[in-house]
Amino acid sequence: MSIKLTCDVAAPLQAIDEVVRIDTLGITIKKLVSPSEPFFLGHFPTYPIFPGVFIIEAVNQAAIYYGSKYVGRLRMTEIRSVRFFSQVLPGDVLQCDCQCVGSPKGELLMVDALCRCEARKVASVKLTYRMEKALDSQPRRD
Amino acid sequence: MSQKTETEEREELRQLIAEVMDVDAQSFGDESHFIEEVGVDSLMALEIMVAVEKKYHVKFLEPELRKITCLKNVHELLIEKRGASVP
Amino acid sequence: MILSHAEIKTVLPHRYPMLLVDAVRSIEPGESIVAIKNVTGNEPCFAGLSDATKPYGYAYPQSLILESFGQAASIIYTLGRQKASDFGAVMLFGSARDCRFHGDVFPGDTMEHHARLERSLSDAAIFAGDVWVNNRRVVEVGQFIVAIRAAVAP
Repeated sequence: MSIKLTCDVAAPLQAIDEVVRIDTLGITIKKLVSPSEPFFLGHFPTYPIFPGVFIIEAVNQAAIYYGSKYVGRLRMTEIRSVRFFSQVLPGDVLQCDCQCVGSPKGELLMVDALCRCEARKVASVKLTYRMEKALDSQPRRD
Repeated sequence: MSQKTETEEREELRQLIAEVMDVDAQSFGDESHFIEEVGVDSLMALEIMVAVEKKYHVKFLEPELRKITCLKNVHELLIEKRGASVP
Repeated sequence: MILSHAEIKTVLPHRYPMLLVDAVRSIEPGESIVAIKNVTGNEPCFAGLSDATKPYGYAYPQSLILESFGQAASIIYTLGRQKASDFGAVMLFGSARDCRFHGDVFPGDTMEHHARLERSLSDAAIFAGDVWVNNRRVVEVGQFIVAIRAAVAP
């Protein structure tokens, strides 16, 4: 399934090229890291490395998209933990496998993601989101 | 305030380390090598030591940080740092 | 001591569009820093927004707030040492914990990073701190670890 996502919020890059799966339990996305991405010019001039924060961004965009399908608008409130195991380089295909679990009271969504390039583990990202149901008229269900 | 036994403290350390490494506390033995057996990398080993420092109010020097490879020697180093063994 | 944007470029290897620290207001090398980044509507991250984008859509991406903080923090470490080009190493985001986002940053805001170096090792630096917009603390950074690695692409 290939989806061109238009998320009407500011973003440093389009971090989702493909949604591999999405269901109530979570979402898996892929990002093809192209050598011509503009941020590589500055990160870094002589050795391009995909910024670690953009792996967090990829999980964030996946979570926001999951929210648009299942729970409504989300706002990240905490990075509980993020750990990088190896570098992501131009040409790599980043895959983020995110488990999305609502808190018992229903105001928070916990998103735990394992990110890989092929078999190589690149990052573990654990985020907390607040569900902003009160600010949306109604969650969108496409 | 009653003093913890060495065993209790060992278990407390095990829980702390498991939490930092995000693994089950029972999944590694006292002598399981963090990096080689449990899949912890050197940054995570550093995080373990920082968490131990914060919890037990001790400070490790860089050469000591590098020597930590399993739960048993984390505990031994902690005891040594405090300057007393708990029976 | 304060640093201009030009001086920041002598201590950080990041360049446009990824150099996210504008100026340093004060620094104790090896200890702490107060550094800023202004957020303008002209940033690349806002370029894709439509005229129908709601105000909340203009919140500066949280990933970039964190990157900006991390770069400000890294200056504490690198300024105490050599120039970035002599440094022979890259500082890479290793891990972070307990980063809490209390508020948003919008075009027109100045992010003021307050970072402190908590531990300094030969191959890692541990930072903590906060991000402020005026007198609002927008982010609390509990622990931010930067790995220092040789600058050789694998």
